This record gives sequence, C-alpha cells and structure tokens, in this order.
Amino acid sequence: MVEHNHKLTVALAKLEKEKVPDKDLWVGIAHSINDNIPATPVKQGRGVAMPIAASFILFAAVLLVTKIDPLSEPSSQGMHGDALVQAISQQHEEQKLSLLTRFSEKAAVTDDWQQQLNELDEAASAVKRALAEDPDNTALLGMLQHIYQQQLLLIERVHAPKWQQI
Amino acid sequence: MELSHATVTDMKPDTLRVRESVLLRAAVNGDRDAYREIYDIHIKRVFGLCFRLTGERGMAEDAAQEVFIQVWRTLSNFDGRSQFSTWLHSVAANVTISYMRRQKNWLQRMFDIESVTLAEPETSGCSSGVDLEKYILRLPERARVVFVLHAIEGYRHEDIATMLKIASGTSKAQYHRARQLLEDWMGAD
Repeated sequence: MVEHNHKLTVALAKLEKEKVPDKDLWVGIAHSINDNIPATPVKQGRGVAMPIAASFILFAAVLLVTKIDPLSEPSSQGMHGDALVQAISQQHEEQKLSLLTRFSEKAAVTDDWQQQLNELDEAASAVKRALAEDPDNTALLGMLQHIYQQQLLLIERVHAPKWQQI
Repeated sequence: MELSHATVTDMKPDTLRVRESVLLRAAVNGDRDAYREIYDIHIKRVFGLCFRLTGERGMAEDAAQEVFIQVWRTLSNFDGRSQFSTWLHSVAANVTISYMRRQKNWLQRMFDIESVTLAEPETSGCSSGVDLEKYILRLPERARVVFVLHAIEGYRHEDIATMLKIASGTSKAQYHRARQLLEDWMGAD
C-alpha cells in the first residue's frame, strides 16, 4: 500500500500540466471577442483617441525603424543601444508632458489614472534595466515603445472620452 | 503588438513577466493582438486543466474557448494582487465546471458514484512507466474533478466545496476515493 502511495506521488510530480488542443481554438475566441464586447468602460473613448494615438505610434515606429531624427545631426542616424533608449525616452517624456499640459485644465474620467501611469512608469523602468544589460534587444525595445504608447493612450482616454467630443 | 510567440516563449521568466504585464495592460484597453499573445502563452496550461476536468477533448476545447472569452470580458477585474496565471486558472476551473453543469447528464454523472468514465485513453508520456493520465480519466467524474482540483491544481477542499456546491467533507471523501482507485489501478500494473 505504501509502495502504491509512493508510486502515485511520484507519478503526480511528473505529470505534465500542459496539453495541446487538436485544433486552433483562437478562431472561435476571436470571433466572439470581435463582437464589440468591451473589456473596460474606458474603451468607450477609443474611437476618438485612436487617430491621435495612431499618429504617436506611427511617429515612434518611424523613429525606431529608421533611427532618424530630423532635428539632429546625421551622426545620430546610426543610433543604437543606450543612446537609442535615451532618445526614445526623451521623445516620450516630451510627448507626455505636452499631453499633460494640454489636459491640465480637464478633469479625468477615472480616479486611478495616475496610479496606472505610475505602474506603466515602473514597467518602463524594468524594461530599461533589462535593456541596460542587453542594449540591442529589439524585443525589449519594442516593449518599451509599447509601454510608452500605452501611457499616451491612457492620458488621452481619461481626459478626452468620446462622449465629451460630441 | 508584433512580437512573435516564439520570441515570447524564449524570454527569461522576469522578462516574460514584464512582457505579460504590458500585454495585459494593452488587452484591458481593447488590444486584441495583445490578448492573442496572452492566449498563446497560457492556452496549453488552461487546456490541460479543462481536459482533465471534463475528461473529453471536445468538451475541453469548448470549455477552453469559453474560458478565454470570459476572461476577455472580465480582464479589468484582475487586480494584479496575485499572479495573472493564478487568477486565470481559477477562472478556468470555475468556467469549466459551470460549462460541465450545463451539459446533459451532469447531475447523473456527478452523483453516479460507481460509474466510471469511459474516456478515450490518452498517454501522457510519463517516464515513470505509470500512465497516471489514463487512470485519472478513468475515475468517476466527481472523484476526478475533486482529484484534479486538489492534487494537481492545489485547491483546498473548502474552496473545492464552494466551487462544486458540495460539503468539504464530501470533497475530502471523493479525493480519498480517487487516490484509492488510482493506487489500486497502478498497483495492478
């Protein structure tokens, strides 16, 4: 009996928890979540925020892909590693400051947006720490950019929801 | 979100956690591509849970889809106090049990203690020579559900009792019954 108990315990410890479904389940999921089911109330403001956010995203993407800053000297075209991270971060801080200034007189539609902004700041710091060890990791650079985009979107959405634009 | 799944799975745990928090933030804001990446990271683990609870691939696939649809709708309820995977697995267990309840013969299967599931044999690749996976699927439904939740997923009997709307004593009894059956079957090998 004790031996059987041990056998079961050992087998349990070795049991693989993951299993692969036979078919791609995402198709059905994507179909359902595409039926405009909101993930959060804040998403209501997306229609107006998207074009503005898209312009930021496009600008940031162009900056990263081409690594060209039209205001700087030609020597910065080969920017990479630490310098690129600093350039992206500085650019982001300017955009963020500009948005915050623009919306400084407007009330936010949620109370915890600054906390969310801080959480994103912490995430960005974590990514930057990782980048300090692996400066040319494109996945981490993409991640940093995405966090910055999320911050800009957040500021937009909480200050300029769709219903205020009508 | 343009990062490929292969890149995500190759990341170190810390980087993956940061990546996941970024994806979650994006998904909460309605980014379906980000949600697809979250799905890619977790589907195998969630499907494994659904499969062992339902004991059947077809039902497990339906349940797993329902899990990810429900999670999308309630993603903003995740408060970040626990790991996302812990929250996700809890939602998966509850959604799957709810799904099973809606299927025909649920009551009959849950309360027919002596019946044994005639599940399709499925090997686990277990190197110990004991195919525990196959035996788990052979367990009577209620004993199997309790065993999976307690022995594999680590839920307390009190939590299982709440999830299954049974007494915690019943959960313990079913667990011991499952262990007994598994030990007997493994001993007969």
